[in-house]
Amino acid sequence: MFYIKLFFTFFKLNLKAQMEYRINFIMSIFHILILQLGNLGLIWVVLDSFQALREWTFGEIAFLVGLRLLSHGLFTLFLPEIYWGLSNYIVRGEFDRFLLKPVNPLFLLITNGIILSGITDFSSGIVILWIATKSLGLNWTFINLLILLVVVFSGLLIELSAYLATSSVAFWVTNLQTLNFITFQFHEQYILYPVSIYGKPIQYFLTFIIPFAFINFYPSAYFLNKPSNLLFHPYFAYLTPIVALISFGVAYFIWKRGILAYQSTGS
Amino acid sequence: MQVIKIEDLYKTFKTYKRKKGFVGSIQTLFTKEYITVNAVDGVSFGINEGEIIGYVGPNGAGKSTTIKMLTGILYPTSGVIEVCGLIPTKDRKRNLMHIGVVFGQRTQLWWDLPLIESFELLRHIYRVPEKIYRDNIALFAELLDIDEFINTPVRLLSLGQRMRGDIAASLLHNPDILYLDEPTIGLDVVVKERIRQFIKEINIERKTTVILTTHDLSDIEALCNRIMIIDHGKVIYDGSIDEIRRRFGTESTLLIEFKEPPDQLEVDGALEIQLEGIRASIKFDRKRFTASDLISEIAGKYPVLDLTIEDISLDGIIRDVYEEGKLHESVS
Ligand SMILES: Nc1ncnc2c1ncn2[C@@H]1O[C@H](COP(=O)(O)OP(=O)(O)OP(=O)(O)O)[C@@H](O)[C@H]1O
Ligand SMILES: [Mg+2]
Repeated sequence: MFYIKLFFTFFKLNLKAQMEYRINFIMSIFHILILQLGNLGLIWVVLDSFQALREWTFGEIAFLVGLRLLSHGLFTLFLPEIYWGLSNYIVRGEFDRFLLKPVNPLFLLITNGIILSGITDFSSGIVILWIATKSLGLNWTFINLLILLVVVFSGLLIELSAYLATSSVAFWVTNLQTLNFITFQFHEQYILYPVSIYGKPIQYFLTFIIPFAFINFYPSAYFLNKPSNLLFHPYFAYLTPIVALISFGVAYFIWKRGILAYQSTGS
Repeated sequence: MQVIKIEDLYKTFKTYKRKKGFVGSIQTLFTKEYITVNAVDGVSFGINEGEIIGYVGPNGAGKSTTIKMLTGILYPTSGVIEVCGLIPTKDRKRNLMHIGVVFGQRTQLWWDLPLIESFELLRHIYRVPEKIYRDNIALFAELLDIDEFINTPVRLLSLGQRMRGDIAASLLHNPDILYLDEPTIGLDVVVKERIRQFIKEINIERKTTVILTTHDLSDIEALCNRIMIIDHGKVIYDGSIDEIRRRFGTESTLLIEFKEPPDQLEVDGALEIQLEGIRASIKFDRKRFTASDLISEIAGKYPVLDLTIEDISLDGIIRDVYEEGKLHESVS
């Protein structure tokens, strides 16, 4: 309760601070909307010319894209500090301040900033999911909407865990923005398409190492009722929440060990 | 009552030779090449409730590192730290509830938020009761004039304003112990004086224990009853300021103005004589001669117009102590 109340207090203040940059925000809405719809258009073009994608319809790919954008929008809105801030704070010794308040340091880090354009990502996600729904004639039952909610939050947790783990590497070595960036590439590019089109190493990587495939690919097998496109095991369609919890457990462990190793800086 | 206990505290930093670029950083992850720095090298001390301690030493002596261990940011390499019976890294949150911290070099306020909103957040974080919160804000407004800039975003504050904001923020929850790491760095004399008055007042009113590091020894003279000098991670002096003056500050200077310029000045027992026209400055050791000995000797030989005695400044004493420390080192 204490943390929830505090979270909204922080959120309100961050929102107010961000509103100072209103123009920026309005610009970013258009920018991202165009970018995302452009992405979708690109997929449309690629779809036809790409042998491996033949088994997938445009609507199905749009579903993958939309699902990813929902959780990614929430990540950008609420948790950008994990990706943009953390490793820099560590290397510059600014991480000190997160250890100087009697609340969980991860909580303090997360509430340190928001990026409003996350709302645009999220909204484009809804638009694209709606396009997919129309194109596929999907029927959203109440249960399925509930499951969608769980999947989106699990996706958020998976993304959080991935960047928390890669950013925490900075506790031990010099700033590895590059590592974050590589992770980001997997998240930004690779899971726009069904993971099944890639070679085995990448399939393994996106399933077992950094489980981004659980953000959209596996759960879509459930929503689209497409078991033929599953990899490894049919149950993977239902595993997203569990994978999310495990990922977070692992990432949180790395983060905790990182704090033990934190050296601050000399000045 | 003892509030802080440190025994045999060590902190060794390992700095890996960090290489540039992506491949370089992967390499650092696996190489074992590193340099070690013994930042805190076997420190022990105890601090009682209500004391104001001046923790001084040259750059890189280990002051900030000690404070970072006391606040729980850094884990000690070995040794014991207890703050009000708690181990700072183990009982991190409970420890933080009753300490306040200011690092002068770096603000802990929220950069984009107006000062008042940082205070609001802190009120929630520390669960400060409404009444205490309001009384404190009123007190800080009165003593630090923070109301002049309380609605300004922190990033727009001047250094002196920001420092006052940081100090106020560190005291919102009425902590028992206050750590101040260079709270007067870069401030003008007026703001400095105001901050000193404020710290003194808080210490007297609330019995707050204060540990202060600074390179401005007039801070120490104005505030502290006890001074600890640390160098190369070792405490080389721990005692009162009077004591340090007695032990190291026995060198005084006699400034004399003569009626007419003497051709030559000879004084038995002077360590050093400088003569310029009708003015002379004569250094002597008070342990061996009293000022009146010296004065009567001089007045007997030359016509004196005016004279003053200057004690060595605390700066000078501390400098001597640092140098003596270096002396010991080169001997051992
Ligand atoms: N994070 C770190 N990594 C490596 N070495 C460090 C680190 N922090 C401090 N040191 C080293 O430890 C020593 C003590 O540093 P510290 O910051 O405690 O000094 P200080 O007494 O506060 O000095 P100053 O008066 O300059 O602030 C220095 O030699 C410094 O280079
Ligand atoms: Mg320092």
